[in-house]
Amino acid sequence: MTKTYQYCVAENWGKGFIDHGESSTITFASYPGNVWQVPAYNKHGNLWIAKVAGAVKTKTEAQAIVDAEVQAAQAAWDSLPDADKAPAIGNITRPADITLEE
Amino acid sequence: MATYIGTHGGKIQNYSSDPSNPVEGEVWYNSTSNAIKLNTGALSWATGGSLNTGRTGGAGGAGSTTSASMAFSGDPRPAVGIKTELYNGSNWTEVNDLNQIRSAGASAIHGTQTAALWFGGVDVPSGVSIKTETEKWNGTNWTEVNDLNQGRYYVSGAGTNTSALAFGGQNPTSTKLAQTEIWNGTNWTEVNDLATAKANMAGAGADSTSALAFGGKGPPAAVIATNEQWNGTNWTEVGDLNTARAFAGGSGIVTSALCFGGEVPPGETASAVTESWNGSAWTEVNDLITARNQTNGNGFSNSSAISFGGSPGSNTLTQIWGGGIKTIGTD
Repeated sequence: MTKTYQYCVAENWGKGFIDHGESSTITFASYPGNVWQVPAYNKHGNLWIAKVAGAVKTKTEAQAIVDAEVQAAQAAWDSLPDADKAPAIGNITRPADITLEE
Repeated sequence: MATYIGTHGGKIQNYSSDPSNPVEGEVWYNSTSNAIKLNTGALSWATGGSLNTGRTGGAGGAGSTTSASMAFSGDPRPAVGIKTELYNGSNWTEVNDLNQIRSAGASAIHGTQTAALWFGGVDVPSGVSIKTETEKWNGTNWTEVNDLNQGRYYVSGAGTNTSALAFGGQNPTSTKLAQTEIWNGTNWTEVNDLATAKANMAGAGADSTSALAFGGKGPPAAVIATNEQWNGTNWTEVGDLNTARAFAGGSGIVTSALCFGGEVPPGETASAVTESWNGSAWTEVNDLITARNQTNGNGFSNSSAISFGGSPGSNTLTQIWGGGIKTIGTD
């Protein structure tokens, strides 16, 4: 099956990690675990991954990283006192599972 | 060799700094950076420096430019509820704390790094203690000043620390409020209500005489798209957002505003959608790089804004709206 997206792991260092030009030409999505999704077979996406020294991952590898991060966040949320989970004022909801696309 | 004047019929304008509002296609020479620049017209989000303290819903923001912004309060309380940071265009620096631990208040979004205002909210996460308190920032310290008349949280704000507006919000039973109050630098005065009671709106507006209140939570709908404009006396419904949402970030003034991110159905899904207001209608523009619910931000127009914090995932994330200006040559 033809891929729509490719994945890499790269730590966002802040200013310059994604500049306005890259933002205009690449559709990014970010996920827990410093996982970044960019279009597959795309010159701009490939150049960006090289710029940030991203560690390229298969979709399965990226999904495993995301799952581990989400499960840790869910466990942290579950261990909170019930009062701190009150949606009316807590502003924090239980992290939801994430499914990456091919 | 072809010259610019030869092919375009005019000389390149010389500026010591980039013009504040260049038209699309405009070329100029920046004599400070010795660079020829072009406005490509395409605005987008870029990454900025990460907050020292991650924060989500109910934080406050202020700042005259994206390189001179301010973040304060937010969740999770109590640790984050009093934290203040300043942004210099690259990095956030922690400065003196607020006096009161709280979040879900509102700020005068046209405040600056030397003059900000923070009002309303709730205190501890395990109890609903609604705040009326107001704090004023002088560039170094926060000082408590006179209270709001109506205590509320998930309230919205506009203006500066000498001329501000507080509107909407909710009370301890989560009843949505329509009340509006004006701050004159010393006291809050109740004025005419919003057309519809709501909370979690985003706001824009330079002072207490003009503002926008867009999105939010109803009833009647869980998230709403309506947009109300304040003329100093009354609220009037104007053009709706294309995407209904609550907890969005807002920036700008009544003729040039930006709405970004927020919470959309189903559940509390984070949105990346950005919309630009030109004074009469919202137009969808480039998305946030990372979708953000309960993001915070500020900015003075629809061409310059900052988004910081929010959820899900890293709540230290900063995204900067701007660009459109490219360096096409240097000396």
